Amino acid sequence: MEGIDAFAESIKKAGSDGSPIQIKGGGTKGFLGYVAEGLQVLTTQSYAGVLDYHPAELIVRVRAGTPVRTLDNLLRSEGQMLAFDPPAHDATSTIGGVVSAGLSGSARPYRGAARDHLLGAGMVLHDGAYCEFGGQVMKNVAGYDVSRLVCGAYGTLGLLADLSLKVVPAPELEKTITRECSSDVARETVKLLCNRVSSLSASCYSGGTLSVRLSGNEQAVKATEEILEGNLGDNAFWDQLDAQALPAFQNAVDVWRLSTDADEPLFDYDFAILDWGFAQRWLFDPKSDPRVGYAGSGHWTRVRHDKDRFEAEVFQPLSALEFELHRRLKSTFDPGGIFNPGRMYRKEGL
Amino acid sequence: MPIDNQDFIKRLRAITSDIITDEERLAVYESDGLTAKKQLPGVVVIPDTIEQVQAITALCQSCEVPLVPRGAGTGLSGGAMPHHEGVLLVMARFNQVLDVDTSTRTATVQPGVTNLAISEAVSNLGLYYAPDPSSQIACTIGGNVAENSGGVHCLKYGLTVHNVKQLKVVLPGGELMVVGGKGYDTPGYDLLALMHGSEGMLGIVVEVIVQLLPKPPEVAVIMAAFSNVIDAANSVSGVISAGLLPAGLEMMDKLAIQAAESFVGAGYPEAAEAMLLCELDGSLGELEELIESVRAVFESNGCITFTVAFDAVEREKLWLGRKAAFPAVGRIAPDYYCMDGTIPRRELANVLQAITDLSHKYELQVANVFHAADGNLHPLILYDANDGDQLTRAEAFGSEILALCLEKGGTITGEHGVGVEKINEMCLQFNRDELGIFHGIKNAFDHYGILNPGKGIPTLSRCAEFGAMHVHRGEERFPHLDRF
Repeated sequence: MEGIDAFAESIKKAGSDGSPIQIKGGGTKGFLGYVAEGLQVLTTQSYAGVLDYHPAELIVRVRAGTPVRTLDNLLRSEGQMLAFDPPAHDATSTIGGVVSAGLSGSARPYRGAARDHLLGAGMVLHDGAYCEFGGQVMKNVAGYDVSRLVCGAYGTLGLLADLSLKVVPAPELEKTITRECSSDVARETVKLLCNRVSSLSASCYSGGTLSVRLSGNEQAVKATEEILEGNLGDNAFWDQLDAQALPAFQNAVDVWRLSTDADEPLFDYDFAILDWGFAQRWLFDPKSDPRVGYAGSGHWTRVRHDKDRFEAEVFQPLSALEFELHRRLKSTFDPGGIFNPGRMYRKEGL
Repeated sequence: MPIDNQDFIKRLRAITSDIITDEERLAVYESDGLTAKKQLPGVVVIPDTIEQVQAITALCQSCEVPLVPRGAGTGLSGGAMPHHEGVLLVMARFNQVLDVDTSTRTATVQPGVTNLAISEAVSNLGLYYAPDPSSQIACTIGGNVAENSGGVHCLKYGLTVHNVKQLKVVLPGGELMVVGGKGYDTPGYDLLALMHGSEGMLGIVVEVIVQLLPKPPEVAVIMAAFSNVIDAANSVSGVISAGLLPAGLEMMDKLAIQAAESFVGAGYPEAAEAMLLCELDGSLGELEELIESVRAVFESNGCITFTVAFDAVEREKLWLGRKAAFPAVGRIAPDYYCMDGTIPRRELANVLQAITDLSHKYELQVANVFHAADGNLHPLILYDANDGDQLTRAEAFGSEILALCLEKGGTITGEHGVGVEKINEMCLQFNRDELGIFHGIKNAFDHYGILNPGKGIPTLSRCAEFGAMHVHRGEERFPHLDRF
């Protein structure tokens, strides 16, 4: 037995044994969230491959275990791509893992998030039933939007097996421009580009350098270049940034991410990297929990940590009301608590 | 008085004095845009403040009285059809744009603000709100969230869910919850996405922060005529295959073209069998190249005329015919029945041919006006409601079209929602397990089932009954607004 049937059997058995499972794709995101000890591992890695791809539909249907890079190569060969820059931490990172973790790369503010491009999902539920939510068309408002709910749920609601994703034409030209400037000038520059129709598709400020990526046809890129002086940079920078492979990431043991209003002050935090037009901020090896005393409106994620350092929740704690809704949703999808228990919040195995 | 519980009315009146209980005035609210589905509400309440909405909701929950939220009542699937023994919560007074933040290009608005009013409020800043359902002059942003509304610019700019950053929602217990935020994500499950298209069944939207976009510096609208619908359909696929992403790409067939032309005189090619309207936008210098690329695709698919409008007045005139197509069709037949299925784009030519065949089978004319690039069909079935047999045929015709959409891998509703209208067809699209999850989600938010009961998600027993009866659709509707 293999594929969906095998998943269904394993899941039913986990339920009847009361033995929870850890769902694992390429295993490249084990650092994100809690992984309880002693779980059986259910891997989706062998469940790979493209199920349906007609470039003129702008939709690809793919098995969750398909490596992001394999999918990307296929789409690029047809002059298309996933718009949200899905981060591939290494060659084994799967598209199912990216969607389950709800990860979007540098293009997020300009082309949308993973969830914005997820049109439908086929899932194996706690009782082994295979269910399809959303669809394989651009517009679909039948039923609650379960596929987007599953995106970013870290596999706590069910096993994500098949995904239908919107794809877009790849730009004719991509160009990275860098310039040295202060953080204030960098923020204003990005804002200036956002306030008009421009070819901006990524932005990052780090170590006194602003990098931006321009994407579009030649005229569009040229038009934006005319209002943005700088030096030619390397397009490979963005993949490294999204995969957290830049040296600054690699050298840190405790990586914090603040996701907030792009306009929020930097306060006293010594952010090493500010991307997404200053809406995503990275803090490395803080001496104490940066959530303590934080006066902004965003939320912090402890993306990687060294267990010998201070204790802190991985994800921003939810309000009591939000938590109660989460708990009820979790028990609707997973009454026996068998899927990735505690991956997001240890309390009540969420 | 439909609700005769004097104690309940008294407690409601203690929250707000703006209550309607007399039948004459209740009749104003008896339906939404699906006018054939009528029901007098038990009582209408028109609150002014979020606190009142909270108190009303909590009261309804404690008394287990159904509560139906309503924006402008322009919905096409009966999502805001009142409940006879319930409260109709009219959000009309929540009509203010509260804040425009030019720095993050966002606007904080109340849910009763109309879709178009948002764009008008920020127009002088060079900004606009992208989703544009054609009822945009009247429909409210709260209703847009409830239905996850689309419009002609979806392919490039997305649906409502892609353009809303934050919601304030009153839950059935009266609690106020914020979902989303001014950043690009939030911790936990994506409740912001879940609220979109939930048809007022999970919570009541009381405030919305929308993302605004800068207006494109250059816009062109191409009008192209074809000698058959197959060529036009193939041109649509050709444009996408060529790596082009138009802001809008719409198709009309001969009957729709002629109806629109005689109604508004937009300058459409009346002799053509099909027509495409293609809007392109972009930064300066980008447009010429895009137009030439589209021209190459259209010409290779046998387009017979190709004209480009740059001028804002000319563009407006071309869109006017398209926007007025539904009422224009309404002038050539006593009644029409508007469908809203979506199919994979590659099936366009096949499905259009199948609809033509069905038109012969049922001996009813059909006009096609639709979002070609999204594969979102709006066949308009022409009939006369005074002729009972025509009505029966129109219903059966419509049902066959929806079944066809599902067979081709599509959906029963692309943008109009399920409401009460397509609740039976939900049984065709989803199985028992999937419907079970929907009911579980509803129960997680609304344990007592007070919010908009009977809409959106059919009960399993209803599906069993529907299966036994095969097809039993509701009555037809006569929308009074132009629609896409």
